[in-house]
Amino acid sequence: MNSKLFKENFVKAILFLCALSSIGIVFFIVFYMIYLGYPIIINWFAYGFESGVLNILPYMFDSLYLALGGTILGIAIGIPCAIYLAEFADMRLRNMVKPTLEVLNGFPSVIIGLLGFTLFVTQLGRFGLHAFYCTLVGWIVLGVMSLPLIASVSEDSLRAVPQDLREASLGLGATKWQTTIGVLIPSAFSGILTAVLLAFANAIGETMAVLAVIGILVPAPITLNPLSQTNSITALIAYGYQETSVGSARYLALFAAGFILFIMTALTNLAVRAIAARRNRMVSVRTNRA
Amino acid sequence: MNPRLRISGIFGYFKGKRKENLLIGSLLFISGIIASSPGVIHLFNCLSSDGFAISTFNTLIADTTYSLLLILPSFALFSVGYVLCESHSLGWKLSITICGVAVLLVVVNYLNVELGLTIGVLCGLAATLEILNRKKTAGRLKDSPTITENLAKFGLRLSGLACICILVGMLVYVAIRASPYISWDFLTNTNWSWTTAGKVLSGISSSSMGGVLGFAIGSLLLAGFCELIAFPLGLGAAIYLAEYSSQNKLTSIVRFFIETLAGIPSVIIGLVGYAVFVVGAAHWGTSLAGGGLSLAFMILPWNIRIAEESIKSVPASYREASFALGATQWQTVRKAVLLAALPGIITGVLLGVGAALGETIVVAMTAGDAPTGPQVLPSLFQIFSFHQIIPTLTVFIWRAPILLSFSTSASSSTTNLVFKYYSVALAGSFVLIVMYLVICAAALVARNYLSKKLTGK
Repeated sequence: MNSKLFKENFVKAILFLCALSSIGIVFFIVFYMIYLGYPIIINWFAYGFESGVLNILPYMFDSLYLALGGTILGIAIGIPCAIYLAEFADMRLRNMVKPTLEVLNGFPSVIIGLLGFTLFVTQLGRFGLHAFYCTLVGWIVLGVMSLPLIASVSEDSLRAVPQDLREASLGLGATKWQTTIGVLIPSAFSGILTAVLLAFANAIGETMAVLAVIGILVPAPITLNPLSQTNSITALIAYGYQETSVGSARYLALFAAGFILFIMTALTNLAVRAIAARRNRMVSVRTNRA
Repeated sequence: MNPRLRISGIFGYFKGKRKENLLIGSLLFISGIIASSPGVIHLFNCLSSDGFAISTFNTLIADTTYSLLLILPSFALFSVGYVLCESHSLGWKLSITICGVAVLLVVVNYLNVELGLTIGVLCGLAATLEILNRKKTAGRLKDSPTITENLAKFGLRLSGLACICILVGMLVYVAIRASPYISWDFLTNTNWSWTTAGKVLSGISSSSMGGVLGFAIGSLLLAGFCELIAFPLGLGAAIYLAEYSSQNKLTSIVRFFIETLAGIPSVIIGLVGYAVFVVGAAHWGTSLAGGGLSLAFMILPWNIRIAEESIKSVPASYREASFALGATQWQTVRKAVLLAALPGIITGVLLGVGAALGETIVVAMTAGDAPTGPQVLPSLFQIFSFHQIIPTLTVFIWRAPILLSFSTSASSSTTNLVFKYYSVALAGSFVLIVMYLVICAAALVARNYLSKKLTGK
């Protein structure tokens, strides 16, 4: 009996270690970046992001700008798609679209990038330039990439809205469309916001698709013009790691840039977590009242 | 079902009970003719006398199929317009939209034939879906009274179809572009060649491009190695979180870190993997081990999440029955819960393999990026040794746009080679897409099996 108990505890300990492994990995990655890049990071936070070996500010801006445009495009198609799937589509269509969204969610980003390059960069290039690298194409590619995540997560949250709310609204004489706009979207709002923020974080960290459509890195000033060439932190790292010699200041700056990128995505994920916590609290309040 | 609805097919439609319908019909018909004109011209060209004399049977078949594909958009256009008009009766606005699409299609067809073909196939797909949908709803009462509401519904449906269209469109476009390059030799040749960006183009010889099999094997090996590490870790963590943990601070911290790990951009994982495994402390060079480990960091949260979900979906009655028979917790987990959740866990592993197959930047940084010159597939022993570049499909594909972006000022012969590389990269992407879709299909089948078994339907 005692050996049985020992075995149980032993297994439990091993499983617990497995669960802890992801904490270890996260700490390892973050500390490694800080360990290599800390002089530059401190410099950035103390004297502004333009100072030091590498002016990170345009890269930060471009990353955010790209991700913002991409997410907005994703919202424009993804949320109507979610509404249609949750409220209007019959089961057969839904059973076709749902797996499609999942397949699209993990689709190799390099292929999306290559297609974006083929369809937009070279095609737009026919009207003048040799190859038309610009923010706009980045938006399109990122929009396609963020579409499945936004659509499937918001569809889930729309579906989670209690049936009573729908029935009450329809019973008051509202049409289906009015019910969707006036009742369903407000009550599923936090879920939709979560989807959007997750997609935004993914878009900031997306590398391959962006890399293919923004071309080689050029020092570009900060501009809001979507037809001008752009950069991103991910492209900076992806191009930079081979071009810099190991241990040089420029090489260490890549780790500092990686840390900045991590901070940006981590902040977005924290916001998602805060929203989820708030929603859970509200749900428990609602059920308590009932 | 109302018999009148059944009769009012295409013929009833053109007889025109209302002038408006007749107008829309003729507009659609004309736009269909316009859209099909390039295909008809192509068909005439390839059926003309010299075409017959020169072309072999194979090319004739190819040409005919090709032009039929060009004509297809007109049919698709017609059916989409017809079905939409019939079911929504939007009238003028819709007909104008459809004519716009037709004109756009023609313009696109002249600019870029492959894109036109893809759009045509997509229109056909949309039309089929619409017809399927309509047949089911034909007898039902229509509940939307206003044009605004109809338009809104139409827009919603369009965006719902957009997801399918994006996936199928990518597949069809890549397949069309890749078809000239896909051959038995291409699929089975293990020699491979790629080049560094902008620098060396000697890897591409104009005679032979090598095959894609070496890349595919490399990709699969990496994905398998990464699952070898991520699967036990992920399964252990999932069992702990689903079965052993209680809702306390520690568990929520663990969950928080899993989410954080899932949110870390892959380029960061690649950079740290590069610094640690390739050039840093470990100094393995590019290797299967380094690439697999870095990929495992990336895949781990996926594995944990899906395994945990499937373990949690096992009904509590399984556990209660096992406990009632006197089993310990570990015995219960091992023999009752895990067995029931097995298809779900397999789904997680397969999705992880799919994600690892499609990952590029981590692989490029840690498992090998750009050797110069033609290469042969390393032997089994070599592949597992350090300082060995692992060929992967994704990096092979990635090189194409990079090469093109660097080769703007190169000589014309170089540019030709680069364009050939680019086309072959599209063929490579087709192979990657097929591999990915096969894995996804297997994963979905496994999950359906699980849900059927657990719900008992």
